[in-house]
Amino acid sequence: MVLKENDRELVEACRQGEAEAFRALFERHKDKVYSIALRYSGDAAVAQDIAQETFLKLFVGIGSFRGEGNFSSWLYRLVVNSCLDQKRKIRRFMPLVDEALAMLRAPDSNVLDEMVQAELGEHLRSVLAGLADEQRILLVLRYTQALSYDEIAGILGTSSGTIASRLSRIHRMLERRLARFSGIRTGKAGERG
Amino acid sequence: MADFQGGEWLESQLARQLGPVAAPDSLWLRIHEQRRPLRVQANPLPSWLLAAAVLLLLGAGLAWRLGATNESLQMLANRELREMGTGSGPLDIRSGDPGEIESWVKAKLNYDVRLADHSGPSDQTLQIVGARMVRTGTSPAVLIVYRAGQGSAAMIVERGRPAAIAFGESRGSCLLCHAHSALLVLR
Repeated sequence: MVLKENDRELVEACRQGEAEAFRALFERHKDKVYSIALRYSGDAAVAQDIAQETFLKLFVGIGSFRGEGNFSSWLYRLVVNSCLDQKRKIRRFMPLVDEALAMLRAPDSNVLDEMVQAELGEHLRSVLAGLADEQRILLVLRYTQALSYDEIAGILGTSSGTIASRLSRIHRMLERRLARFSGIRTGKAGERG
Repeated sequence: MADFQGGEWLESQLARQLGPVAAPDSLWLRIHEQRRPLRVQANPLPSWLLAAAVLLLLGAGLAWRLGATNESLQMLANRELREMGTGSGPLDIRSGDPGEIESWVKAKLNYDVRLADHSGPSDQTLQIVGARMVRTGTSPAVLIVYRAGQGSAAMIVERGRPAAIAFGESRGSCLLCHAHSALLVLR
């Protein structure tokens, strides 16, 4: 049983070759890694490939982690690189679209609403699929992990100002692209947990 | 109607749709089964480079060893045959009985070797004449002399060498085995 209090201790145990430490490290971070992979790729199989590759990189390269920096930031960089390196990119966000349609569907929606929502789903799909890889990973880090601009900047190796600027551009683009759906009722959606 | 163009609405929707999910239970199994043995190194060399270097060294060593062995044994067999002339030179044991030679080899080198019996009327091409002790470098060995048609043939049996070439089932070593061996010297 590995009773390590934090990542630093777990990493050190891994460096000493303790097999249980690897498992503990995996358990601690698996959801984070998989979530980023899934939200980036939109495909569960691809997400598992990305997550697997990320943890393999982590286990093999853990000897090179100096421990001075933040382990999470290092892990984020690994998963981001795995996402961007993923050759079988599926430029879709199917789960996102499916969930969006379900969420936007109000209980009292009528047939017209459903038609609009279906169209919104299609439009959302195309908009997100058309994003550059860097824009998609930026959205994922921001909205899947709720990372701050500073944290994202550290992972992507840029300034927080650049992150803010890029996110602002993406927001404006999304708002513009989705503007014609402004008639959709959204009050019910906010009640979902 | 909601203000669909509001930034807060968009952010809340993105956060909701891109929220975290639980990793499948199968993920660890995938990683565990396929991950390479861990070797924590400060600056690990690529594994393919290490493997290539090891193979290169092994190959070079084996080639050198085989080459040296074959060449030395070949020269030794040739020299012994020259010294014996047509096979009438000095022998420690003179016998055409493969079993007797086998026993003699066992007594001298302390390992078993099986020799084919060519004494039948239908197989007169290769006949055992006898054997004597020789040395291959620092190792004791036995030179088995055959009459091969109008000439002679020699087979060197050395202790500690790989299994017999021709007979296969020998527990000792047989570097030169009748006409099948590349090291069999015919004169």
